[in-house]
Amino acid sequence: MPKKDISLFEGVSLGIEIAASVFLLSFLGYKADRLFQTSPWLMVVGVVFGAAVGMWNVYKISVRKFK
Amino acid sequence: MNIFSHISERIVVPLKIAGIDLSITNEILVMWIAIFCIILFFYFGSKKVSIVPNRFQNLVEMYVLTLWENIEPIVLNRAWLPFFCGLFSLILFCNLLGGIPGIVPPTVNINFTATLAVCIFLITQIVGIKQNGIRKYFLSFVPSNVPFGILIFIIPMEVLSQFIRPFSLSIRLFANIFAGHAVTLTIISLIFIFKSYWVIPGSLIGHLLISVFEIFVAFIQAFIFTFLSAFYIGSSLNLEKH
Repeated sequence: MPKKDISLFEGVSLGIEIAASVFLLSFLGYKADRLFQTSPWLMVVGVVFGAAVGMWNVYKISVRKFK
Repeated sequence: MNIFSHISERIVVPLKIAGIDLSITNEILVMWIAIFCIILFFYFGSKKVSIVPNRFQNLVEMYVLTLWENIEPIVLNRAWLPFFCGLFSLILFCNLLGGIPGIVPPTVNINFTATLAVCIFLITQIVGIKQNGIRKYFLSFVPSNVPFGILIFIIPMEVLSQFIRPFSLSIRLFANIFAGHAVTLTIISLIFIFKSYWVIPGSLIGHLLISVFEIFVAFIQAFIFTFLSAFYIGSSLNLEKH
């Protein structure tokens, strides 16, 4: 199977992976905020870090596809 | 009346062993029926194997070979064929059984999809460590040619992305199948909301179109789940090649 076809299915997964990483880490941040009474800072960190993880995954797949 | 009660789980046989609720629900029954259908499908497909295959043998051969042609370049090992074929068949048959009115497929329950995704996550880690050794496997999380200052951010992101994979795998399958059933139910319930005969043709045509689309989604989602599982397992098995 050509490499571009493998990346096609990876691409299908990327959208949900970005959303999932933002959602999961912001949720964990929200829960940690409630536990440590630090609202809203840990959730903000979670959102930023979740977006960063999502973007990192996109970057890795793009590098693999175009190298 | 809550229309989603039609796609929620119901206890069929109450069962409690040592204080643990092991009740058999309608979704578990559907999963057992799906497993039984898979056994029949492969049993009759391989019962009388001949060089010139009959129609059913041809179908089963095409089913297995198409799947393997897509998975093989990723995992690079034929020993994984039964595992991925079983995984694909289980999800596909569960999804397809959901197309029968009154039957709730287990894939509309996030517990089922999450269990599959967590199993894939554990297999990925165990197989990766076993194949490459613990040191080499965890060193693969550290990208090469990256300055030390950036590594402080990259390594946690790499570790986190491993944990996000089962989450996104389970959400993707659950959301797609659940959304299909929810849309079907909503379109049908329009008849009861408007209480008019004029709505019936539109509702039925909409239901028919969505149902056909659901069959397509059943195949695609089963394939995407299997393909991504193969990709994750293949990545941890063959660290240099991915």
